[in-house]
This record gives sequence, C-alpha cells and structure tokens, in this order.
Amino acid sequence: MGFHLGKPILTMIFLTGGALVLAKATQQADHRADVEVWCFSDQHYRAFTGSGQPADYVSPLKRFESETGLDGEIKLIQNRALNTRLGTMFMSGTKWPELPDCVEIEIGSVGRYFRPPVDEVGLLPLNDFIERHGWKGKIVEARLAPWSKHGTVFGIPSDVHPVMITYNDELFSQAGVDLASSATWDQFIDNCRRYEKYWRDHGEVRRRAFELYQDNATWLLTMLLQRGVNVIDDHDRIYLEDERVVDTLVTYCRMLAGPDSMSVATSGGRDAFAIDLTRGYVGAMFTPDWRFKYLKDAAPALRGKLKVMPLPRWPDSPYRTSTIGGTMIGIPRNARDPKASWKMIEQLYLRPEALHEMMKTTYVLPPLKSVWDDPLLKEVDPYYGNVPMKQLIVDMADEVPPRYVSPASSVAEGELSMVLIEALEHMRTHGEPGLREKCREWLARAAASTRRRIEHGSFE
Amino acid sequence: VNVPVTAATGRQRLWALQARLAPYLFISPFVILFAVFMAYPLVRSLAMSLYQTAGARTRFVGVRNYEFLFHDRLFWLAAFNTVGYTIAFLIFQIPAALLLAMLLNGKAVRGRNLFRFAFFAPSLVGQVFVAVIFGLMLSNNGPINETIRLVWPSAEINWITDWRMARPAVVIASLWLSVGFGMIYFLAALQAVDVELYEASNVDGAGRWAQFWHVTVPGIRPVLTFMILTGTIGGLQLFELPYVLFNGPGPGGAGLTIVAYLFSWVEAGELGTAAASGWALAAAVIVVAIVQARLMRESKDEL
Repeated sequence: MGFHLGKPILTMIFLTGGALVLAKATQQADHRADVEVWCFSDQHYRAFTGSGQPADYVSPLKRFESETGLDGEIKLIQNRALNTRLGTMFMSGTKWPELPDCVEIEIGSVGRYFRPPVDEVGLLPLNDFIERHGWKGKIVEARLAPWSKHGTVFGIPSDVHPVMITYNDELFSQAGVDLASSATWDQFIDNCRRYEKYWRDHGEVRRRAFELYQDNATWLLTMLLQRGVNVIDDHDRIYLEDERVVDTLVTYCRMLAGPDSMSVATSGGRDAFAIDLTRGYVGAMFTPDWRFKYLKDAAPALRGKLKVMPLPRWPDSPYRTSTIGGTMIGIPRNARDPKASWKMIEQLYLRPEALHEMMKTTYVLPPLKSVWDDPLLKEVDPYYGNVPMKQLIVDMADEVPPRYVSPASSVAEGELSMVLIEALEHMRTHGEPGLREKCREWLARAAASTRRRIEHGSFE
Repeated sequence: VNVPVTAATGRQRLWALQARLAPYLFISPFVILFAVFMAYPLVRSLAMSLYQTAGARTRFVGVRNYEFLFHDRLFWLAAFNTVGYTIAFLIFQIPAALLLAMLLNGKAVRGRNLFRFAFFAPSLVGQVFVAVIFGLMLSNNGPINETIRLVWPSAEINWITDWRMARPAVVIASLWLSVGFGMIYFLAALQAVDVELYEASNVDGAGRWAQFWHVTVPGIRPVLTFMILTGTIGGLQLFELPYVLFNGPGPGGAGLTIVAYLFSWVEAGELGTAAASGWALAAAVIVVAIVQARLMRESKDEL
C-alpha cells in the first residue's frame, strides 16, 4: 500500500502554515509597564491600586506615576503561583521583561530564596538604598531580620505583627477571673484553670479557656520567640536543643494535654476560630494584629465583649509580645531599573499617605515608626470595648523580638511540630513524669535531622 | 520523444518520495510532542537527580541525593504513609466497590440508576474538591462531630489535627471519592459474566459463597486485576487529597506521601533531590506493577 499526501492534506498544511505566519506577523507586542509589581495580598492590591476605594482616594500607584512620569502596574497573583514563577525565574536567570520590577513575598516562602550564597540570591540587596534614602533607623530593626541574610537586607517589611491575647471578658468576668492580671505564664495558666473549673461546675464542659494547636508548632514558636529563641537563625545555627525550648515545650504540653490542661485545639482557619470564640468554646486566643480584623468581620456578635492583654511574661525574658507572619517587598537582582523599582517601593511601603490609608482599613501596623503617632491610631474602637485598640498594638510594636528566616526554617519548624506531637502523646499517656528528659531526646534528634538537611543542601 | 519520458520519471520520483515520507510526516506530531514533553523531561530529570540546585547555581553530586533519601527519616515516613494508604485503599475500596456493584446489579433494587449515579458522582469532582469538603465536614464543630455529640456530648474528635485520626480521615475521604468509580467497572464486569454459569452452578448445588468464588471472581478477574493495578499506582501517587485536607504534611506527618515529599523539595528550590525522589517513586511503581502482574498471572494459571 502506498502513501501519498494528496491535495487536501497539502492544502491543509499550507493553510495552517500560512495562518501561523499571518498570526505571528500581526501579533502586537504586549504592553509592559515601566515598573511592574507582583503582589499576592488582595488587601494590598486594593490599597495600592485604589480598587474599591472612594473616588477621592489617591492611590500610591497613581502618585508614583505622577511623580516619576513612569507607568506602573500592580499584578495580583496567588501566593503559591507567585513563588513558583519567581523561583523558576531565579533558577533560569530570567531577565526583564518577564521578570517583575518589585515583588512581595510572604515570610513562609522567603527562606527558599536564601539558599544560594548572599551574592547570588535572586533578590537585590537593599542596604544601600535604605542608607542612601535615609530610612536607616526609621524602620523597626527587628522586622528587617526575617528578610536578611548574614546582614544583607533583601526586603522592606510591610508589618510588625505584634502578638497579644484576646479574651471574652464577659465569660471570664462571670467566672470571677481577671485574666489581664496574669503577669506571668504560670499565673495565666492558673487563671485559665479556674475559669474552666467554674464553667465545668456549671455544666459547660465544652467551655475551654485557651486556644492552642496540637498538630503544629505555630503557637509554640510564637511563645519561643517571645522568650527570645529562634529555633534557627540566618546563619543556620540550630537552637532546638536550647533548654528554654525544652521548658517551653513542657509548659505547652501542660497547657494542652493531661488532667490539668486549660487549652483546646480548634480546627484552625479564619472562620473556625471565630465560631469557637463566639460560641464560648474558646475563651481566649493568641491574636496577632492581622487577626483583630478577622475577628471583627467573622464574629460580630462579640462586639464590646472582647478585651486584649499583652502576653504574660517568661521569667527569663523581657518581652511581653511576640510576632507571627509577615510580608516584604523586594527587587529582583535582574530588574531593569532598580532605582525606579525603589521609588515604587517607597510609594507603596514607606510613604505616610499610603500607610495612613492602609491603617484605616486594617489593624496591621507598618514598621515605620514615624507613622505611629498618626491620630488615627488613637481612636477608640467600639468592637474592642471602646479602647484605642490600634494604640495598644503600637505599645507592643517596639518590643517585638527579631525573627530570623533561613532556608532550613521550615525544616526546623516541621521537626519541632513532630516533637510537639510526641510530647503531647507522652503527656496524655504517661503524664508529666519523664516528659522533660524525653523532650530533650526528641529535640536532639530533631536538631540532628535538621542539621543533616542543611548539610545536604548547603551552597555556602 | 525523450521529454515526456523524463517528465513522467520526475513525477514518479516525486510520488515515490512523498509515499516514503508520508508515514513519517503523519506520525511526526506525536513523535515531536512525545520527545519534547515526555522523553526529554524524563532524561533531564534523571540527569537532574545527580545534581543539587540553589537558585541559578547547580553542582554535580553523583548519587548523593539518592543516598540522602535512603537515610532521611521523612522519606521513610512518606514511604510508610504511601504504602499504608495504598494497602488501606485496596483493602477497603475494592471490596466496597464490588459489594456495591453486586447490590446494584440485582434486579430487585429499585431506582438502580439513581444509586449508580449517586455513588459514581463523587469521582467526578476530584481530589481537591473532596479534600475541601471533608475538611469542613470533619472540622471540630463540623457536621460529623456534631452528629457524634448527639450521643456523646463531650466528644472531642480532631480528625484533622490529631495524628491518630488523620490517617483514617484520608482513607474515609478517599473511599468516598473512589468507591463509585470502582463500582462502575465492577458493574460492567458483572453484567458480562455468563448467566448460564450461575444456572449450571445452581444445578450443581453451589451456594452463594461458592458461586461468588468460583463463578463471579473468575468472571471479573480482568477487571479485578485492572482495579488492583490502578488502585495501587493511584495509591502510590497520592498527593492532593491529604495535602489539601491538612494544608501541608498533616499532624506528625500523617499526610506526608512520597509525592508530597517530592513537592516539598520543589518548594524548597532543591530540584535535584526532588528528581531523585521522583525516580525512587517511579522505581517502586515499576517493581510493584511487575510483581502484581506476575502474581496475577500465576493465580490465573492455577485456576
């Protein structure tokens, strides 16, 4: 049997080829803004672009365009997609115009970008910009730590995220407990136990005092940070075996497991914790500044019933707060015009006008100290019992301990989560005897495992 | 006189050429796509598994990535979970699917088509959707726990956050997703079993159990083999369901599967170790498939 193309097939090939050539010839070049910013936060996107804002709102983007004569564009990209794209671009050495000129990165994702040696990190060092433009000393020093490697700053922080405790004052008052009087963690635990006993005696067995996670070390890390412990620093030094980690872990287990526990593990998630608080299943919870807005939106029934207190102290630490979460903005090393990118960063993250607008709609405090005396922050908040809620956040902000991030941070935190689960299981089955020794053993194993991973992937 | 002869020869040559080239032209789209999107990535990922990467930098490390894997606690935890989930799926999914198929194959069941659709429908929505739905249903104050509390008011079952309950949660969600899919295959196979064989076995005095083992099972053997093989491979490749359900590796790494382990290296920007994990998984799948095929062939020969 013979094959031949035949006229119909030849015609199709010619037509397809012709169509492709025509399409290529008539293709218009995509318009690329002079400065393109990738952001993953919907809230930031709206504030930067003015989307959904009143007509008289002058967005930072418009201000940038009118002051520089350049055109800018903010692209909202889902966080995981943003990191996948950016990571791939850094790996392949992609340059302008595919590469953004500025990019926002969330604290949980930034570690991966710090794997290469400092001078090969895909982001541009910003130390010179910060000094030359007079921002040194004006930004909370501790908040530059997560975005730095070996002293080189790769990102400007958008937030401070101090952590406090929010509690249902109505329920605690009914139980005759003044939770805010708890100066230390031991007193706090005692007060929470009294609260639970009161409600248990009144038939409310599901009314637990404090929310903690049992499946991950998020709040344990928050407590450790308050105690001045980073489980790993930006030089990849591991502190999992520090005696303060052992002690905090044992305290955490005492709070969450065993016969005298005073905490409950909620499902997590924005609505779940608000529902638990509204229904009275949880009396108090850790509250970083971003959670205040979530609570206000998701738990309107608690208006006027909630109060806020600083974290109780550890005997060996001066801090009454901690920090969790965070976002930065940086400039890719291969960006076309870093100076223009920096001007955009100043407009978005450092200009008081932009920050004022941001503070209006959220409780997130910017790390720029000069805006902390904004009258807006002194306004009383009816939802939180007519106290100047934002001022309370400011009072805590300067105390926020530095948090370091390295490529191995997520590994160390994952290992700590595994140890936490083992420790809670031990507490449930054997009680506290022997727990401390076991924790030391598990933490040593976790440190060794983290060390192996660091050594495996180190490019230093 | 010679001119027409030369022209005819030229045309014949052209026809001969295109007749020779045409088959290659026809298969070229597949060959090109296969080479670009299958063969090259396979070879490239094999090569990559011998390197380590950080940003744009790479370095050759030989088989060190593989050595690391075999000494990494998390890799073995992921392997343990993956094998455990695969076995659980096979133990629960196949009998449940077969049972449902046999029930719905009976003529006495009313509204059979409705039930068939109802059981099959979850398999249309995919793992991510099922994970989201079960995340809500199994949450602390979700409908499942609230139902349990009707009889046990102080019950605190943390399906998602307690390591003891996390694995059963994955198996339950997965069963909901895949039982209907298996049921449809078994239903088709059951309908193809020769009715005369049942009638003959009845005449021989066989009971229902004997009929099941000696008529039904041999009759559906090809589909059963297919279900076991695809179920095993699907179990070994499990990723989205636990990953979305727990939003990560889950309590105590209960949701960490080999593919999730691989993905964690991709997220960390270490593509070499990720590629090595992928090849370790591929090797496991190939070995399991060969062993399973051999076992099936042997048991078929015994019959």
